[in-house]
Parts: sequence; C-alpha cells; structure tokens
Amino acid sequence: MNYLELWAVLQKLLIPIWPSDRTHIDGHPVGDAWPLICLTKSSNPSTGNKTSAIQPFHKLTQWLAYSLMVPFTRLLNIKWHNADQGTGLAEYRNGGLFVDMGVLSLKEESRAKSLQHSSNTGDGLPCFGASDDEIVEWRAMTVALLDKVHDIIKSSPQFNGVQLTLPQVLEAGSWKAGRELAAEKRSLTKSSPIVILGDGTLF
Amino acid sequence: MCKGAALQTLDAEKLYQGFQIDEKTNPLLAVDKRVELLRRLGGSLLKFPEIFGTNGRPGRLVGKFDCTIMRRVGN
Repeated sequence: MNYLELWAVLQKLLIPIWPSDRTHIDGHPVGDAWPLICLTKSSNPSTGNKTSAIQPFHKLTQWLAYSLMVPFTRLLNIKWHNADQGTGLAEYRNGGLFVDMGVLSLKEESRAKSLQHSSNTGDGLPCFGASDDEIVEWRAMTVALLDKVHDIIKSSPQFNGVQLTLPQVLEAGSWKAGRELAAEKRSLTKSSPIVILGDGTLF
Repeated sequence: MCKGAALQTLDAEKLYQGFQIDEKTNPLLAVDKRVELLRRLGGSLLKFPEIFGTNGRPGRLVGKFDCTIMRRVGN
C-alpha cells in the first residue's frame, strides 16, 4: 500500500477538525502548519506563493499515520511503499531533547520576551504560544535535526547493520531520550524545557 | 465499537472513565479541548461515508485500500 494514499485520507478526515483559529490560506484551514518569519525572509516575493512562508508539521496526523502503519504491517501483512515520506515529529519531547542537550538554545531577546507572558508557568521556564515564531522555529529545527540524527544512526557501526526507520529512531531514541532528560532536569514536573501554551490539540 | 455518531456526542465524563483519568494519579491535560476534538472527529467521519460507511466507523479505513483485506478480517 502507498503511504501517500493513507496520508491523503487522514488529512482529508482531520484537517477540518482542528480549532478554527488555526492557520488558514484563502479561507481554507491548513492544519498544523504555521507562518515562519525566516521563511518569509528567504522566499522570493515575486515568485513565492501564499504557502512559501508556511512551515508544515502535521505532527499529530503524522504520528497517527506512523502508528496505523504498524497493525497494517503486523496483522495484515501489508508492505508500505513511500514509507519514508513522513518527517520527524515536531513535538516537545523530540524538540526538548535538542534543547536539553544544548544543540538548540533560545536567543536572549526571545527569553526576555517569554518572561513577559502573563501566564508564565512560574517555574522559570520560557513559554510561548503555539503560533509564536520561537515555537514554530523550534519545531522546524527539530524536524530537520531529527533527519540528521537518523543519518548519523544509519551510518553508525554501533547497530550491527540494522537499519532503523525514522519512526523507530523517534520511539526508541529521540522521544524516549527527550522524556528521560526532562525527568532528570525537571524532576518535579518532567516538563519540556520550553513550554507551549497550548489548547490541548497540538503538543 | 467506535462510530462517528457516538464520537459526536462524547462528553468529558466518558473520556475520564475510558482513560481512567484521575486528577492525582493519572491526570490528563486539557480534557475539554480533547473532547471537542474527538467530537469534531465524529462529525468528520460521518462526512465521508464512501470511506467510513454511513456509521462513520474509523476501522473502515482498512477497506478503503483493499477490499480483499476487508473480506479476510470478516468486517
């Protein structure tokens, strides 16, 4: 089966369900995809279209797709084509890993901005809204860095030639490590190092 | 059995029960928002009867791809 067909069905089903204050283009909801300032800066105003400054994640839908592929494979013996078309998941454990490991850090002006948020968590952690550029950029960098991590793992001699897929790297590697580091560094709340003031539909 | 119509009328209490949510031992963030999302999912499932049937059953996703699979699992 073609992963891209599964993807198309899931998007058709799920794009309409997200909150109505999500990103819209020409009146159409586009799901978990957000304007990103650095994309605006790098896109050519004369050739760029309305979507060229939008960074897509579709994190929950991709997670669902990865999850659904497992019983299709194991119970129905389905083989998937284009299974490598999914991206890493832009969520707070994968993203938190890169912050907690010092790979990514907030710029000072962003940290100062977060302290002005009226609903600061009170434990000193920087927090932003889901559409704030800091969060969109953090999530975008997470997706890109997860590909790099996957490449490093694929070429590493440590795994006896076993080729892990990206979702396997997420589940057993980056997501797990992100959770463990968060529990170690913030043992009371186990919170991620940057807090997204969410509405429960994003994470 | 999961049907679109039932999802549409899901309430927080059912979610609490189904996920064994407890404020102290097994908390869940933003329950109301998640309930709203599931209700909208129910509505969306019902809008695509060609895929999910008139009852909006998510499991019918399997049949969308291969009718032989549906016969094998005895839908």
